[in-house]
Amino acid sequence: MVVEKALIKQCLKEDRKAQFKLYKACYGRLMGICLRYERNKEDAEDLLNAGFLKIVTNLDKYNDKVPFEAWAGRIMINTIIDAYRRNKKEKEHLEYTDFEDQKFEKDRVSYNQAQLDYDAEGLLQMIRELPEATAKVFNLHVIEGYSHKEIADMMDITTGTSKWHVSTARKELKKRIEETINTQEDNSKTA
Amino acid sequence: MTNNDLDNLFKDALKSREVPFNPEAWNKADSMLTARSARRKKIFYYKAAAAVAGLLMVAVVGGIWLTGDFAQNNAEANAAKSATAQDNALRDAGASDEVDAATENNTGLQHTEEAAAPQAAESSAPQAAALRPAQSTGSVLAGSTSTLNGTRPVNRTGLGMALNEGSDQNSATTAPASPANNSFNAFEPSTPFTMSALPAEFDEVVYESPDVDPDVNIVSNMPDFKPVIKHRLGVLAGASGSRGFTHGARPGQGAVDPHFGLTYEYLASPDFSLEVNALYRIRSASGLHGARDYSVYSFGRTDYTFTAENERAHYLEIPVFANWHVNEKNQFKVGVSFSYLLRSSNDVSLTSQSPFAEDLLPQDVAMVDEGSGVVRSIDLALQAGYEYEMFSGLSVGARAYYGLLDASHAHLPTSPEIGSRRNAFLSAYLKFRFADF
Repeated sequence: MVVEKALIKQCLKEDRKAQFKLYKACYGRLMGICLRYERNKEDAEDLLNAGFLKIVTNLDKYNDKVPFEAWAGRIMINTIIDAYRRNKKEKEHLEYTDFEDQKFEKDRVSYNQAQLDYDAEGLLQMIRELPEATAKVFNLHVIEGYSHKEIADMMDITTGTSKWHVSTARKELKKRIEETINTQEDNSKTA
Repeated sequence: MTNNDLDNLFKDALKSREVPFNPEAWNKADSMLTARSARRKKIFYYKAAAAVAGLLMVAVVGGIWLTGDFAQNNAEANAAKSATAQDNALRDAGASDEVDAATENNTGLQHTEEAAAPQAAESSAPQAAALRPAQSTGSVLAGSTSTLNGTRPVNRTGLGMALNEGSDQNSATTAPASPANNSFNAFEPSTPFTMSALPAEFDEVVYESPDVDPDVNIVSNMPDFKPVIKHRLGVLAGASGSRGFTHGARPGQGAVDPHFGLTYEYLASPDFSLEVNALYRIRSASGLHGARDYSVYSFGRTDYTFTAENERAHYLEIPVFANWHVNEKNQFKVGVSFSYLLRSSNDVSLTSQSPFAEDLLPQDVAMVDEGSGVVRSIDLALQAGYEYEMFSGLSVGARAYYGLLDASHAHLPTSPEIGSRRNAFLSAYLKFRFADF
């Protein structure tokens, strides 16, 4: 994401063409973040647009000592977490159901192991199949680098819960990767 | 596979992953930006309308105050006027009586003229017959004129001696009421005077009670007019001092911030009043320094230095107080306040001492307010204070502010964690009352 100062100045004047250029420049990076936290593309784009609106609204507060990518990424993550917190209550109920269902589903459904070849899309798919809260905590801790204390503050959970989510996610992901490896080995033997 | 291997696998694959641009996504963003522009315009109009309404309110209140002031000033002038009018009424009453007396006398004169006329007719009938119409007219005119000013018309030549005789008789009867024989002139310009200056007979007409002291000056005898003040308007400005907002576990340094605004007080009783302020208040922390451990899971622990300068929150604060007036000079107050965040800003610099600065930097960017970000939109607080009126209208006061809420969003990891413990300050101010009504 390369954003020039001149483009930011033009955006500050609310030049729509400049805003489009900025959107285009930010899209790839910010959408990459959103897709890590949302399971479908439409929801991810909605979050992206909400975050972009905040970025445009607060461009006058941007300090050019900080890389624009980092600043925009931080706003994007906070937008995602804000949205998650807003919907947390209604999602809490679903989360339990979701988690149990997924565990059950995972035991009986066989994956198309060919898709899990460690490319970004395959790994992302693995994360998406985790329970929502677990996936978010894993993303925040492992990919974004937040500490458990920070995650606990962000998501209104305890540090213990945050650690538990990461630990659960690691176990699940390891299990799936090992399953993939075993399946690939079996396939190669059969072949 | 160790935990670190797993984490690195996901981080390397997903951290810097970019998605190809989807032009359709822009349509939604474009419509959101358009809606935002429209909303901003709307807000601008609302603000403009609010400003106009505020100015109008100030103008109306100012007008009421000025009118009240004029009314108060005019009260004394009106009192003087009414006294003068009363005097004039008294004089008019006297003049009317005098004129009545004159009229009666003139009526007597007419009768005399009428009585004298036949005698004149007998002595000089032809002359009288020739002149009668004009003389009669002149007599009527003279009679009517005499009712106005108590004097006789000049044209009486046709009546000869008879008229002169009548006139002489008349002059004898009208003498007591003529201006020449009385010091009181009903047609002199009105001037304040004491009741003793009135003709003695008017006292009996005007005052039934014999106890009224005729030497009491009517103007000075008006009851004192002391208006009851119920409303007070003023301006207030001061400074507040606190340890400033604190970033997480990092210690905050002291901050002194200004505030100013309008104040309105309703005096429910001499001892008790309600007061509401509309204040623009800045709260800040300056020179925040700190260092802390930061855990970067794949590189071990590392330290960095963080500096945030001029963290500022701009509030519209509306406190409501119940004031207890110990006496005219001193008052104590307790109340609650509602604060709305107008805007917040900060100026952040970051010095990383880590060899992995690039990895740390994105995580350590202090949060720049992004609307729902660092500082909460609303703050509620309890306040208590004391005020002393040094001179008429100029007071000095002090207040303690204790925030009931965390002023920041706790979930933002790098935001200032302004707990209730830190959300407190002391302020001192000067207050000037510019309108009592």
